Amino acid sequence: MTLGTTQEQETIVVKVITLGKSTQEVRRDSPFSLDSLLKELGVNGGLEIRVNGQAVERARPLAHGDTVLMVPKIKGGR
Amino acid sequence: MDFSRQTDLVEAEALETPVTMIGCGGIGSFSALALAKMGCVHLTVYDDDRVEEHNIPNQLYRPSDVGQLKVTCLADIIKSFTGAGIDVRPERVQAQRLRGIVVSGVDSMEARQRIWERAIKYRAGVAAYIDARMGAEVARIYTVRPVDPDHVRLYERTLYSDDDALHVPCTAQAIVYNGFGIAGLVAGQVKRIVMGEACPFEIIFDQRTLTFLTA
Repeated sequence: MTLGTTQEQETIVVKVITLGKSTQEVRRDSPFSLDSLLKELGVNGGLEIRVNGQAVERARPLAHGDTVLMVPKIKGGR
Repeated sequence: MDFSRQTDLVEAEALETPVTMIGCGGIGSFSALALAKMGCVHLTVYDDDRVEEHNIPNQLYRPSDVGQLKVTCLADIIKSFTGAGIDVRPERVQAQRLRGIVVSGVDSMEARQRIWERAIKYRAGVAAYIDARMGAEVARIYTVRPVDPDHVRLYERTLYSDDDALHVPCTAQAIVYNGFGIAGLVAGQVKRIVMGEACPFEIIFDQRTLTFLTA
C-alpha cells in the first residue's frame, strides 16, 4: 500500500530507527534509495545499516513500510 | 543462599558450570554480581584495572574502592551480597586455558579480537562465549558456540575494528542502567546455556528508543 499515488511517482513512508538517538518516519517520493536516505541523514560510518532486519546494498530502493535500522558499532565495556 | 524462588527456573546443579568474566567494569561488575546471585558457584573474574573516581557512577564499586584492584573489590562486594567466594585474576586474558562459559566485557575491539583468537575460537573447553558490548544507552550481546564453524563465521562478521567503531564522546560512554540491563541479559543467556534452552545469537537493545531485537 502506498500514500498519495500519482502516475509518475508515489510517496513512500519509511521508519528510521537510529539506535541510541531517535525514531522517525521519513516520507519521500519514490524511487528513493537507501543511499539517498543515508546521505540526507549525514550517515558516514560507525553504523551498521539493516533494512527489515537484513544487511542490504546501499543502492537498494526503499519501499513503503520499510524499517531502516542503524545499529552503532559500539565497543565499550569497562 | 536459599534459591527456593528460582528452582523452577534454573537447576542449581546446572549452575556448577564454570563461568569466567573477562573485564570487571560497566558490564562485568554488574554481570558478575548477577551471576553470583543466580547461583553460579565457580565464578572467575579477570581484570588488571583499578577502580577510578569516574567508575563509581556507572560500575558496581564503592567510593572506598578507588585505587584498589577491581577484581579484589568485586570479590569483596560479591562476598557481602551472597556469602560466596569467587576466583580473582588481576591480569589480562592472553592465551589462558579457559573453560565452561566465558563472558567478555572488555572495552575495545582489539581486545575482543585478541581474546577470541587466543583463548576462545575452536577451544573445546569453552562451551559458550558471550561477548557483551556497550555504548551510551545501546547494548549488543553475542552468544557463540566456539567450536561450531557456522557460529564462528557469524561471530567473526561482527568483529569490526576500533577505527570502524562509533566514536562516542567520553561524556556519553556509559550510564548505570545500561550496565544493569546488560547484566540481566548476560545472566539470562547463561541460564539458557546451562539449561540447554534455545539461545539467541544476537541481542540488541537500546534504552533511548526502547528497541529490543534478537536474532
